[in-house]
Amino acid sequence: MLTKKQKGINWILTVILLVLSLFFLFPVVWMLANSFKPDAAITADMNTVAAFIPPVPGGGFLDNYLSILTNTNFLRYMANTLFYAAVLIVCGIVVNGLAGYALAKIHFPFRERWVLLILLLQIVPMETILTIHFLMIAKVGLLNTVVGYILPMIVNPFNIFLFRQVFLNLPDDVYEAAQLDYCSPLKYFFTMVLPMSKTVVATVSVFTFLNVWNDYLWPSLVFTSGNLLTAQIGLNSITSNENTTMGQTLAVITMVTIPVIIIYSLFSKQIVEGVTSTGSKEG
Amino acid sequence: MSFMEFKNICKKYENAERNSVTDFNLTIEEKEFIAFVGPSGCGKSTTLRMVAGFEEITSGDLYIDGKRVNDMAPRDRGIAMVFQNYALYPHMTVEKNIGYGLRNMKVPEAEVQKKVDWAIRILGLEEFRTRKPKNLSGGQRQRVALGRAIVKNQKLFLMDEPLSNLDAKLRVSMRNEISKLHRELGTTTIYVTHDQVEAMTMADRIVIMKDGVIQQAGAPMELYEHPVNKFVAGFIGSPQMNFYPVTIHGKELRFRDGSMILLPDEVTARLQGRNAELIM
Repeated sequence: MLTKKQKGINWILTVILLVLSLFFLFPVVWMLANSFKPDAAITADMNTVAAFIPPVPGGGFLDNYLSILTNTNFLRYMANTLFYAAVLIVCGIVVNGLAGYALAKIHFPFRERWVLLILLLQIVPMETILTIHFLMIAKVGLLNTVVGYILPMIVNPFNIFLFRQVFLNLPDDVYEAAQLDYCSPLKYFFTMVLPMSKTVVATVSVFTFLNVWNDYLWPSLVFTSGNLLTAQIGLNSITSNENTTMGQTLAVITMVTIPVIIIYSLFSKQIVEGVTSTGSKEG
Repeated sequence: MSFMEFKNICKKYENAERNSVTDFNLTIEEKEFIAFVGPSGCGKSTTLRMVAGFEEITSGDLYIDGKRVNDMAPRDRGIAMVFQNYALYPHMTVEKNIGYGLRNMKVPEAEVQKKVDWAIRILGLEEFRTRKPKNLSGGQRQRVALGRAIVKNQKLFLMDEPLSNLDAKLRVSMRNEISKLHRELGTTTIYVTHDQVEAMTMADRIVIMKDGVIQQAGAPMELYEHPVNKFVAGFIGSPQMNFYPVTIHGKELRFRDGSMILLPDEVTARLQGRNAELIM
């Protein structure tokens, strides 16, 4: 039971947090409101409260969005990114999940050292790894290909560690029971281990999606062809075009931001669990 | 040849100083219900796990139905097992849990359904068939585990302290259910327990173990009436036996405090005038 004093402190903290969250919310609301306006209205509302208020839906309300979707390849870039994310989620769960399972449940020499080595990989700067990836992909002639983009991104030490931590707690007798039920080790992994670890599968999926969606550096190194570009690169090429208006720029930024906001609000539980179970955050 | 033969089975874990199981020799006939009993750490569960194939046999030979199974994978040994913690598949319903093994054995779906229905009926699980394990009580979960074992028509059932997680009342009723199931199916069963009442009431024969060594194997009443050593005598029977050091001279039995009783003639004859530590 909270005392009167504690309740008071809670109220004050809530108000402070609300005010602070407004600071973070302002740019998003401003972006959303102005993405529906023509440039003249954006400039006119700039220094007034009206800058945070969207126009009344009517003629021309969705013009900025429609012109982006019809005049540029942005829809294609978004579809590309969704496709890459889907492939990387599936491949990542299989590869990192199997590695995590081996490190958690299979006894082999120097197992703990392997775990340590995988953890150490996390402190290597991303740029160093990307350079090596780039050189390798270029050497095997996979630049500007989907495989060249996806292959180096499948293995993720953070996800391996996340899987391992969860799999450590799986009961061994379920595996023994499955063995007597004629279940092969691989079938056990797919039909038992993954369904029994739905939360970590969801966490890894969310992190992978956010990684792919927000990634700029790696796709900008691998892709040169317009057809294969991701949403972030598309966003950059559209916004850096002189002919793009302010309203269109805001519309395209909104389209890139909304999936992230949706994912964060739908899967906040999984993201928090991912962060708390390992003490680090990625994505 | 007997249905099952343990020949000088030994188990020594890596880095362990001594054997967990030493020179385990036993034969089990078809349809027998055998209980392995003993205090914690006596090697009974290790022996059962060696039968299942989850632990390697360090030395000795194990035969099931005439075949040496030392190097055989668990799935090929023709066994079904009921685990202490049930080991149900948490994301599957009762009927899927029971039918999972059959489906993996590629049994036709109609047959699977028939067998699952039979197991569900025989175990009284009709109203829970679509529930998942987390929505079942301990007793219901144990029944599902039993169902999973019985549908596969295996030659041998292994039960590793299956009732130890249940409350006292439920344990008695489940004990009866398992005995009834054994009578109906007639499958050879090895039952591991530390509860001597379970062993005495359910088993055809009991194997009492201590420190990885068989102390005595025999019918429950044989063990009760004629224990071969003090450990067996003290382990079997409820309430437990008391042990008093006494001195015997002829018919006179004298306690440390000086009090004395006279022994019946038949007991005197068996003691043959020895000074002894006598079990009271």
